[in-house]
Amino acid sequence: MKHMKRTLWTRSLVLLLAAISLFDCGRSADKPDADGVVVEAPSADSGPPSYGGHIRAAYTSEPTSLDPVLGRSGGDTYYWRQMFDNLVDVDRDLNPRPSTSLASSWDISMDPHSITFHLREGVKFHDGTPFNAEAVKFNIERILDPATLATPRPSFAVIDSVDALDELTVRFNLKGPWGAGLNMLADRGGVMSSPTAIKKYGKEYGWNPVGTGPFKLKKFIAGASVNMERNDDYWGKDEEGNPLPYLDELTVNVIKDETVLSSALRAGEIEVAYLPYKDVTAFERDDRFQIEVMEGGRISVVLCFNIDMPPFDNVDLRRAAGYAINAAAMNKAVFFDRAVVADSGMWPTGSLAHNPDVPRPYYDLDEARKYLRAGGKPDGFEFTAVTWNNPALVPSTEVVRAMLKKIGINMEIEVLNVGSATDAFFHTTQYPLYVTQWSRYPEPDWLASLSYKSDGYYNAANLKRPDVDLLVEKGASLYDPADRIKVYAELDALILDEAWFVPILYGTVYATAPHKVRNLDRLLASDAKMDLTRLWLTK
Amino acid sequence: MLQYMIRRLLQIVPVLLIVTLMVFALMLAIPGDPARALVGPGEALDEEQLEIIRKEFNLDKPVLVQYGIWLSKVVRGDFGRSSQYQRPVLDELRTRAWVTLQFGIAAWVLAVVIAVPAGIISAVYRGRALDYIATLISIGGVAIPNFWFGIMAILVFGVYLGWLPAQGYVNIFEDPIEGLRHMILPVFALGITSCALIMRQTRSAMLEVLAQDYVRTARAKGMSEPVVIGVHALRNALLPVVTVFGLQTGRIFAGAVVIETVFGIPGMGNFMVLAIFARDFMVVQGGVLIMALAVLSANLLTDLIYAWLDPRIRYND
Amino acid sequence: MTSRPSIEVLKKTMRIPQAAFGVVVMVIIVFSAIFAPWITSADPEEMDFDNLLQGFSEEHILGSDQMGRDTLARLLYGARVALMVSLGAVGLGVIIGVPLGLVSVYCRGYIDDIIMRVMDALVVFPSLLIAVGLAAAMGGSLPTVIIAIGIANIPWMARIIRSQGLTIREQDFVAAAEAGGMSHFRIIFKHILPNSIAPVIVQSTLSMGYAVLTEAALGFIGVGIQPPTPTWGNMLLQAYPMLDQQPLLSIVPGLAIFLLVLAFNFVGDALRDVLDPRLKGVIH
Repeated sequence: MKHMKRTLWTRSLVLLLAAISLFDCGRSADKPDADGVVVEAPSADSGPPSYGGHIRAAYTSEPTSLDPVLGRSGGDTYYWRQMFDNLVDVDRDLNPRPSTSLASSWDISMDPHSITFHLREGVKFHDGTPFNAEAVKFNIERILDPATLATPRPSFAVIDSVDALDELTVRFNLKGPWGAGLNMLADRGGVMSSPTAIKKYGKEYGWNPVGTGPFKLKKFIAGASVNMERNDDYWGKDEEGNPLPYLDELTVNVIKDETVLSSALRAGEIEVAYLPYKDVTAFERDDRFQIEVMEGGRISVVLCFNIDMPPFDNVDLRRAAGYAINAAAMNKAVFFDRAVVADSGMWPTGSLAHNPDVPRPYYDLDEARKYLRAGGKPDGFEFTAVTWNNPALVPSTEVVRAMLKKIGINMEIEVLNVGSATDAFFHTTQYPLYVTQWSRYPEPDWLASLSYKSDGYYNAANLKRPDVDLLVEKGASLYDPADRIKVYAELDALILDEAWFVPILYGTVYATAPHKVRNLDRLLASDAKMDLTRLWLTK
Repeated sequence: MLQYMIRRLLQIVPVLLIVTLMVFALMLAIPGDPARALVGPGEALDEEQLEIIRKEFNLDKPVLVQYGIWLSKVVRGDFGRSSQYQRPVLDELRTRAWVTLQFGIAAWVLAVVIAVPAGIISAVYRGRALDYIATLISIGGVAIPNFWFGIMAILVFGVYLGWLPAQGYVNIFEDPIEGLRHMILPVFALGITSCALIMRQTRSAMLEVLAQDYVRTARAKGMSEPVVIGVHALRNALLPVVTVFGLQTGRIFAGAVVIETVFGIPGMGNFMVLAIFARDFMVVQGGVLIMALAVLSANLLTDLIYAWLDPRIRYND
Repeated sequence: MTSRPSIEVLKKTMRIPQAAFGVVVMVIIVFSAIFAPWITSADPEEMDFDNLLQGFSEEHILGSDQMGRDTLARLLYGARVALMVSLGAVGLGVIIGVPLGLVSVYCRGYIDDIIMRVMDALVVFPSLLIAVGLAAAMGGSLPTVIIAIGIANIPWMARIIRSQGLTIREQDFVAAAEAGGMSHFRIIFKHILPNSIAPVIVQSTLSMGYAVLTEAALGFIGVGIQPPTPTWGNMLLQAYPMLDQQPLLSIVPGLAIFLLVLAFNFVGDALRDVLDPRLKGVIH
């Protein structure tokens, strides 16, 4: 109990400091990250970190590849992140953090457009291959080659070519300004793999990954687990100068069933996992466990409209639907009251572009009926929505149906699997509404380019919208985060006003571990996914 | 006999061809672009990359050509690569098929070990309390949804009593005790239907046999009851057990799909369902081929054991 | 068959206690499925956000689910689906399987071979996976589920007809009819078909129980008929994560499935005993 109070107290302090740093305009690249300093507080009174031990974590989906750029699912990150470093690393608030990046500094040029990276010296891949400018060039060119089928390629379209200037200097020649660039490089596209290993393994590289990270692959069992051991030659050090990582061994298990996850935690079969909402209360009462909370870890329910398809080509009818949804009731009935009623657009709580002051539809049946009349359908209408077979989404969609019924809208539901539903809504455009969930993408341009831009992969209508396109391009090109936030606020307001994407609930991530696991507050990265490399175990 | 075996083996080939062709047709009937099905939610590939995928997996070719390519590779032992996991299909299936096999065999053994003695006892004590109990269980066992039986077992033994782990999988070769504890509930759930069927068949076969002349003769000669049952009756009573075995192999695979979902077991059934939805052609084809082979082998084995147990059977049809 | 023997069969069947029990259960379930709106006033989709996950209570006699929907109402409306699926799937199996079996037994030769190999292939392919594939192709709806389960019934029907037919064919009266210049078509309808009806009825009744089980399994793995339509399978799917919080939610639909399948099995077994004692042990 005493400990819980303390964590709570520390957490509020972290939040406060994080909030302050948000308003701190001097986002200088070299500033040590605010999180890091505070985070050390709880472990400080228990002495310096101890070395050794084995932590077993679990995640609900298995990796599609351990090669970060070939992976086709966001869930892959939980596995590869422990074995790789990024060219640029960022903290939870998207401040670049050179101390943990493979590039120790960088210069941005506006004429001609380019970014020159100065690389860290003496870094080696797990197989002994030196990390240098040629390796960076190799990795980026591999992504740009369409035959590689690398998922970061669409977000790298602005890169024209890469030059290795000398052993430790590499220049990205750009077609235009790339304000989103550093954050994009902090995602899977900026991960560095050993060129030797890629050439050696060819198609099998995806399951024989070789990075520069704190852990290296020991054993992979398909569908079951990824087991990793300490990289003794790791270059990274913690804030006190102690060599990283602390643990000898790390395993990420695949446990698809959430109930199994909880029982595995209780039985001590695993140490670290995200809690299913239904079990959060039980774990809060269980004093064996500490819980780390991150609001806005994902968008749990969002209504995506096809704004070019009847009946929702009519903006008033979209608004009517937005106002008809009682988010709080849905939260209670489906999410055990553990999610948060969305107060902004597609950039959830805690992300760079989140803006709680933006006007948006909240539950108000009078308002909903008003828009129904304005849309020329005072008595309601019928349509079919699509969703996918996720245990939380199907009931959420049923709740949406029940709520729309109250204002006379009759919504039929088609439940497909995730791939088919996404395809049927965004690409073959068979449905006017898609009820789905959305990951938290820390870099705002990721979502803006894919979903808002006229030719975006996740833009169902593909309507020519010069006003939207202009904002998206502007946001991606600006280098100053403060300027970018303003542009994205404008974009957010526009999307919500037109009720194009209407988030209903933001998800909260509850990560848990027994008390012997330390540094749990360092677990959740900016994308709300796990970074297990800073954890240590008390003796 | 040998001729019969060869003919039976030859019959397997067209069946496998039909099965795989049906699967192929079914997979192609799934609407949408199979290349796009590879892109996870929130991720993106551009048109140029999608085109390369279509070429690489021959999605641009006519259906029969695609099937032909697949077949010619399989014959040479190349099952292709999983499109989801970018690994050879056989690697992908091996571990999972092994898990399913463990549970399947355990369920089968459990069913026989319980059902055969229970069926015999039931027949020997016909009309008494034991017989009624056994009959009730065998009737109920066929009608109960096996996955619901599993859920109820979790509720009682996992949630209320806390005697056994409710769900999850532990490799029995790494941690035998925990592995076994994790196996008990799913194996019961998987085996209950077969167990009930065998119990019932054994009972009626035993009753028939016990009424036969040679059994009466043996009794009259003063042979003790256990010897009569053990020597004469059992051999004949085993016939229906073998028959049920052939029928049940397929059902155990089907059962595995649901039971693996209930207990969170990383087996083949669960994996196949996901592969179908992800349109992972090569995995689905390879998996179905393996399942079909298993069922056909079980059928063949059934016939052979049958022949061995009952030499009167002729091999005409 | 004329009406007299069928009444006779019914009388004989009802004299078997298990069968009588089965018929009573079936009648109750059919009745409550048809008259569901009169039995309960609750709408199976109405959400009562103030009464989530209730046990037995005044507002909800059999409790309520995660979204506050009335379990009794969902159970009754779910019965409609269970009955439609079992009738539809078995009907489909009979409509396609019986003619195939007749053709097979009558033509023999390579046609018989082809048909039987296709039937073998259908048996070998786990029916649940056919259903998953169809659901992926067509979406999980009532027709999809009926087709998926129906397909799995086809080979059993065809095989029964064929094995019955083979026995009958060898008998003198068919040979006599053939020699007497009776057309193939008439031989099938006059001799083979009537003699095969009994085992088909027995198999159909038993298959109905199996169809109910399969529908529930499909619903449970999430590829059956999709919400908001309540089915016993998808009720169990949504109830399962709530097992430790509200076990009643998982117990009720499972019991309903168990009872209905039991009823089908009892009646099927009794019919078999009455219609054709020789069949004992032949039909699984």
